[in-house]
Amino acid sequence: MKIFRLGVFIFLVYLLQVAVVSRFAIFSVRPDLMLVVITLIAVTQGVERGFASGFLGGLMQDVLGGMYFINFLTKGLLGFLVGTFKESIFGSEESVAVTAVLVATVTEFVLQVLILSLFFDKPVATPLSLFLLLVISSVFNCAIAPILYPLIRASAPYFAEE
Amino acid sequence: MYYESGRKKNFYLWIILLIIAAVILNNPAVKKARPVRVLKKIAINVIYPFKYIANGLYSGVTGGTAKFFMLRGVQAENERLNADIKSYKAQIMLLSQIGADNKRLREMMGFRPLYFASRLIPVEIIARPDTNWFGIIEINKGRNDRIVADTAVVNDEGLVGRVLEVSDYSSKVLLITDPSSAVSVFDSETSDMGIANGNVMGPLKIRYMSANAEVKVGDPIITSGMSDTFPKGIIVGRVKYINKKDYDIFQKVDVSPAVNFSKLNKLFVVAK
Repeated sequence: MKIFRLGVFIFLVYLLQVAVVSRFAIFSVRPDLMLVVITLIAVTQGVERGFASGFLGGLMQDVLGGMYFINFLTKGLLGFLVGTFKESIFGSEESVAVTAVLVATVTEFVLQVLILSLFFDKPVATPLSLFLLLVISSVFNCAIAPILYPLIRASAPYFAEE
Repeated sequence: MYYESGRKKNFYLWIILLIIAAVILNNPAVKKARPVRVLKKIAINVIYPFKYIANGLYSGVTGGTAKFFMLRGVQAENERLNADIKSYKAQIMLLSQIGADNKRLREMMGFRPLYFASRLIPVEIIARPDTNWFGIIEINKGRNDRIVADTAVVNDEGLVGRVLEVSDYSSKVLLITDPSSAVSVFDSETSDMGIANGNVMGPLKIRYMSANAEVKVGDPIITSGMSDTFPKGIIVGRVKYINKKDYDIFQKVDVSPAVNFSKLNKLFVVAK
């Protein structure tokens, strides 16, 4: 039942991303709300919920808006990695959440560049463009994290493992 | 401890399964398979109303607030717009005459019709790109509104992209800024041709523009009409930067898109 609630929550995040958040771009770079939420779920609720939310969120992005099936892999992996690191290294303060989001943004960036360039002959971008994309998206995502962190932490009982 | 290591093993198994699933699902033959297409179509059709409502709610809230603050200047703006409409009506009358002549002459010469002779279907965006790697948007019209794949999408500024996939009620549009996008273009000042590719961030890149081409910064770049997707004469952008080397057979040309992609709203599909 709680996993169903998590699915509905991730779906609402997806809607918020495509209808609202994606309008706010700086130099064509948009914040990745889904990534931030998945990371915060993994930080506050552990590896299982992190992995499940990453898989669901990524799958929604791939089926409903993407060109390839890669987000379910990268975001599922990120949910797992952040959840694992959180259990062994991280505490649970807001600064830790921001650090986790920064690490997740950089990790997903590297994973996606590798997958897209190795298997799909993408992306066509100069190293400077890629660097700027990484910096701006990191700043964007880290700026959202402290705002969303209390909300995700407060919602933990609704999605936590039974 | 044993339980924890069992859980970890399960997760590693899941991740291996995800990698296998990614390899299978990204196989072109699997992507084109009927069951995959049908499932994707069902998912898109089921989710469509939610996207439409979410987009409408946001537009309603922001549009309503903006209207409230802009009411003060409405009277003066209305008069100015009415004057503009009268002027445009006169221009349309003149252009229709020229268009009719042009169409008749093109038919006599056996040329294909130009895009302004085509029908424009107004559409609205219901979903914007959710990652920074792909320039794909979703519009609120699909097969039921006679939208077909591989047709050009424009707005009042110029070329926006092409219809990539069509569902019953919505369609996906590949923006010209997406790295997979390739548009046959030419410099309207010099008639030199090339292929405009999208870029993850930054200007469009023109490939295969001859090193002998005398392209200048600021030249308008328009569609060449060499493909069936993009009719001839749609503005794509303006030359921003040129890098020409003596030993290269092609020059590198960067183009600033004519369209402001961060403020996309009302679009038109050029009906075939």
